[in-house]
Amino acid sequence: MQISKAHSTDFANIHALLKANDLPVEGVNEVQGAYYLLKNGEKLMAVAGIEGSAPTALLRSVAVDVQMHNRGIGTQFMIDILSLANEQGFRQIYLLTETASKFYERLGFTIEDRSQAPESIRKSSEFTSMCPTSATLMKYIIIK
Amino acid sequence: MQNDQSIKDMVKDRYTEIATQSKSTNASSCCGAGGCSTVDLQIMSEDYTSLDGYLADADLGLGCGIPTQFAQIKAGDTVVDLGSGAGNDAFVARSIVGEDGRVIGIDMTQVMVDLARNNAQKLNLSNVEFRLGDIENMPLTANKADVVISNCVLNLVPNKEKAFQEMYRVIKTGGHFSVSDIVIVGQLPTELLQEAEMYAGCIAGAIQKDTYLDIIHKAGFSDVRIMKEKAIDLPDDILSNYLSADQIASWRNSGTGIYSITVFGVKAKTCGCGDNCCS
Repeated sequence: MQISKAHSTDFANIHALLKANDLPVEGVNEVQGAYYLLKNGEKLMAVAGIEGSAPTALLRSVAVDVQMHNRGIGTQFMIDILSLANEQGFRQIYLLTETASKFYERLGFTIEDRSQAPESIRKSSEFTSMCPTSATLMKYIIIK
Repeated sequence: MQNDQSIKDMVKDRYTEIATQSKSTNASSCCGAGGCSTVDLQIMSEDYTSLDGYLADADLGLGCGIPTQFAQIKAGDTVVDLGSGAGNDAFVARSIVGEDGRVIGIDMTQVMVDLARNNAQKLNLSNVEFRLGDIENMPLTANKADVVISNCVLNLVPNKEKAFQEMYRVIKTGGHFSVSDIVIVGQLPTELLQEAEMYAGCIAGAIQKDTYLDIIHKAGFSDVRIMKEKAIDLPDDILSNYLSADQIASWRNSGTGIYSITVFGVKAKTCGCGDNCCS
């Protein structure tokens, strides 16, 4: 399986994968973020989006094909994505989640109060409109 | 033998056509086979008009039962409708789950998904959604549904084992399904089956009732029950093309025939490895 950056032709499949996982697709496009894909041949297995510019990123739209859940694919993929973010100069990764806080805690994310989020994160569409106020804010510090 | 993909393509084409034709054309069969039949009878499809949530535009006159009738849907439930078509059963389910529940319809025909989304807009419903997807590979996370319903669709799915395995995956522990479908009991002459297909549709992909129930058990479901069973009444003039009068009489008495059934099954709480219920 290989990780690659999404091209415009990938977004129909990305949207389908996100919808199947009950995640919103608003703002998921080439312009607003960089999307990374895990593919097995041509088959899309997982997706993750990074919005924002170094050193602060919003990680969003992380999902694994519903048929491939509970096999450790998401964990390995996230480890690879965080290492990729490191290479690109990101130092703080934020995310909002309603369902997966335990998953991210195992990866080293910690829960933050929403008021602690930096300006750029608070302005994101996920923060302002898409995710309910009950969604948990989490943070990951990358130490170079 | 046609392969699974070519069967699916054929089904898609057929339902794209059905989506654009009238209810009366479709109603004489469960799958809208129409075309060849001049019989003006609603032989399988049930009358939905008195049900809550009914929208005439969503009722294409397809189906072979009312799965919601036995589905024990409660307010607040998440219901998944497989082969949701124009949304008929999904909207009935929505009237039961209410504003706090959720209904997700899955259909592999884009035109049907579009039609259903339009109908949801007409009804101004926000918690009913329609997804393009395959029943053998559902676009749903595991343990999602309190109830899965389906009306005269699974007979069209080439890999029924996979369909019920997927149902088991997406149903929550303690959840259940209620499915209306067509099955066959006993041996029918091949020519008669072909004629019946012209007459009633939906039959080409139907399998033996025992096999059908066996697949459900093997997928892991328990408490599997047939809630309703109705023989599809093939008229004597069709039967007499293939059987003598005596044969017709004994055939009718033996229980051999084509049936519409509504089946119910539960995904029971199990005590396997990885579950907390044993600790």
